[in-house]
Amino acid sequence: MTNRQAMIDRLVGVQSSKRNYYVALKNSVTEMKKKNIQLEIINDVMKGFNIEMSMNDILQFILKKMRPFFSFSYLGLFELHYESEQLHVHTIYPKVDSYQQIGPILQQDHSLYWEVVQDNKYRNYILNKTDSYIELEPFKHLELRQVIIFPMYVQGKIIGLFSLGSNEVIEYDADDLRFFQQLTDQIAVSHENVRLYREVLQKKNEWEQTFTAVKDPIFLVDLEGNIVQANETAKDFFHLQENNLNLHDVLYGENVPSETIMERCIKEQNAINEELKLFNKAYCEVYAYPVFHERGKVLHIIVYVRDITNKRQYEVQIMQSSKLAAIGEMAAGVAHELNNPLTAILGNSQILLRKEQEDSPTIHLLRDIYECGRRSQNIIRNLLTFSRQDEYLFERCSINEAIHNVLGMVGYQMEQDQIYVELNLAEQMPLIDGSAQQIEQVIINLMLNAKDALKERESTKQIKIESSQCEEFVYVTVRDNGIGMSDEERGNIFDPFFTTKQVRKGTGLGLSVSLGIAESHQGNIIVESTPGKGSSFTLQLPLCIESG
Amino acid sequence: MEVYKFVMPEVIFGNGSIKQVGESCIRLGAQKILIVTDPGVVESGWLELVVQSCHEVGLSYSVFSDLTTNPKDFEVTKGLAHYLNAECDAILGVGGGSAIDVAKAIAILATNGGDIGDYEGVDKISMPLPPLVMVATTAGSGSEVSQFSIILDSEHNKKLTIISKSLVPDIAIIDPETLRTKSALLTATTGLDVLTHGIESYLSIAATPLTDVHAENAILLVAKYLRQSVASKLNEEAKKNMAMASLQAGLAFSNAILGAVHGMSHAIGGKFLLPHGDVNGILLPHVMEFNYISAPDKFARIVTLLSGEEKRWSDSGQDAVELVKQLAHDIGAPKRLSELGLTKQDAKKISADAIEDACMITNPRDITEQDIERLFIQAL
Repeated sequence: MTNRQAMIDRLVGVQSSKRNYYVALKNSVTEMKKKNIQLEIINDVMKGFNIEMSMNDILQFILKKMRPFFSFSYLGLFELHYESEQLHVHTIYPKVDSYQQIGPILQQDHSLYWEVVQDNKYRNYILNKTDSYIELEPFKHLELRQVIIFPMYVQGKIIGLFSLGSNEVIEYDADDLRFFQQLTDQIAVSHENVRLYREVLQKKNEWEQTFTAVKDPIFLVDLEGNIVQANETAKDFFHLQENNLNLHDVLYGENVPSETIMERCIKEQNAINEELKLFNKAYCEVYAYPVFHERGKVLHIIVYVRDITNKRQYEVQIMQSSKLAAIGEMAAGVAHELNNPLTAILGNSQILLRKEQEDSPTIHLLRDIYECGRRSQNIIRNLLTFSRQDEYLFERCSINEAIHNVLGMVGYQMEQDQIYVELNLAEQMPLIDGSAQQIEQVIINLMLNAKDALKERESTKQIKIESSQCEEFVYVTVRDNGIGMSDEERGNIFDPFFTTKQVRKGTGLGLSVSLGIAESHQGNIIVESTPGKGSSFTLQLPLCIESG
Repeated sequence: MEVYKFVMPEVIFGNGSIKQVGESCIRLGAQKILIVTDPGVVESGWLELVVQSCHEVGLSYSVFSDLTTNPKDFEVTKGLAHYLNAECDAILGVGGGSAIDVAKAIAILATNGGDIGDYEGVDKISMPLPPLVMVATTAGSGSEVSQFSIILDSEHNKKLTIISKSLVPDIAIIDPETLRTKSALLTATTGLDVLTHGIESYLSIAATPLTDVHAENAILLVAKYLRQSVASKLNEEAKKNMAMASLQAGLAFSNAILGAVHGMSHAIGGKFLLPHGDVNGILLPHVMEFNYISAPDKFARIVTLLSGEEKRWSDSGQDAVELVKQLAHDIGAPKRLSELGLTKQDAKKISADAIEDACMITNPRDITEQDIERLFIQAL
């Protein structure tokens, strides 16, 4: 009967009223406000992650924003590490120590959070003292009465948990729960993005470090050759200062060939290497590697430059010295062979001279034979000295003596070519540290070059050899009045294989080897030249070699 | 009842009040109204007056008239589509109970969504409805002031009774002139409906002094003017008083609810397409006889209202029944359900549905399914 009375009450209903528009409007406005705040929170979470807000700050922000609608007192983020099967306490806001009791890594047994991971769905947990969850300790400590835990998904995989704890038990409707799940999803995505971003950043750094660690220049250029990226070595090596440079200019300067290595690389779609003498005079092996686009088109080119100037120099020196060694060996053999007939010639001519009368008409001829024999003997002795196959040991040696020795070897050739050699040597020359053989080799070179430069000269051919000392250095200058050199030629003379001489007449190795020797003595070769008037080469050597 | 409530819309009553339609809608903030009406109203020319009134105030409208008596759920669905397509923001019902009930049902779905079946029962509506203005062109249903809407569930052949204070329209316009176009037959059947509303709400256990005033006056006016109204389309006074009777009966039953007659006639209406007033008129005497012992004092008062004479309570039960029968007889209404084609085989089904009807709750005498079955057979 009470049922019927209740029904009547409802029908004629004192308790019911016509639905009111104002109320409906107010409700929908409140609902919209709530939705707006929810959107704002989600939006701000997204933004917050972009500017690399810390998770602590983000949770603080969310908690504050939600306060008018939801009275949560704690927010927590837990990270699931798949490989190690560990659930880490990532951030709890406000910061608390109570999780220390159960550690930063949650054990799987009797864990509420692990249960959520395994159930793979959200959990609205109301505290029950008879439960045996390990999390109860911290919950009690925080005076929580209700905890809602949402799994954080990224591409269908749980990457962690987001939990909302409150000090009172509150009922949430489907809309609220949907919002919490959306918020969780947003946090998950953002959290994952931050993680991926850091990972990419680290990978990028690793690659950049690799790029920088290579001590040869490396460029990344576009199809026009514009430098997109260059490592530090490249910048130092080519003295690059401005940006937006084109590698063609850097490598070739004004002499861009008809087909550059980069153009070849694009055309052949393959790795190319070339040996180039660069704009800045360095000898380099240049490698160009195409970088392919996803669709198989060349997008960029990596250009790798290896400076082989030193290696080349070294190779030339080896070549020259092995050639000299061969010549020396031969000369020694010839000298030995000649020594015996010379001994006979000298001995016999001496005997004949002793027997010959002072006024004999043939005494003059005999003397000539004897003198020539002596001279031959000297030449042979010098040759043997020069070609001695010892290591080049540095010792105290005399520059003037070296000049005399050289003249002993090549003086005859000069006479043959009607070249007048004038010596102007300083009298008090100090001894220097060096290898007499190598220094002689340099002087020979300079003299032979001077001789060649005089070849075409009709009038008086002249070579002046001077020695001098100035402060810490001694100088040997070989000056000719030959054809001289143009500025361009003068720029190239120290390059290996450069020669102004006819094919077969010169190897182009002399000066480059000479410079190498001078440098190994911490010295230098200074060139002056005027076309048509002659050249002078000055070997500058320090008195003492500084060790190290 | 010690604490009670009385709800009703703003009421505009009087000859020519139909011209107030446009202005009334504008006052409620309407910009484009859906006019829900039936083909009969269109034919009789009343719609033209309504449309004219809208033009006068510059109110846009769209007309939906695709409905029948005992309106069906699918008609409501169609009407809703019309409302949404035409981008209306208020609803005007013009017609008898069918048009007004459909107008209310469309309004429910317009703001609450779902199917009309979702709102069957009491207080199921959660959102306010769009502004509702009702013009009653038949004196009878009382729907223009009531918190009811009755729609036929066409799949289960069952009437859905929707009750909510939100269904009380904002403005009800009752223009007695509109009754002039009604046929004698329709005047008779709707007149008996008004009488049933008056008597049942008067006897209802939820009746209050506020509903009694209206119920008593409605009974009095029907007794005095129904015969003359049936007799002549031009009897203005009779029409005006029948319109008032219908309005007051509507106010009474909307607040006091009804009884077993309506419980049963809703059940019958769910199975057979019959004029609601005729069925009520046939059932009323039988149910009154059954209910008599529950309220002899009220029966004595009914006799006084119907006959205009003071009566002693001892024989008033039988007298009241006789007076109702006499009135029905005088206006040529059918006397037995069998005349409408109902048979004994229908008794079980009808009583099973009727016992579930909300109107049974306020019937003054407790009633069982067997009681209903017996009354049904009696009325055959």
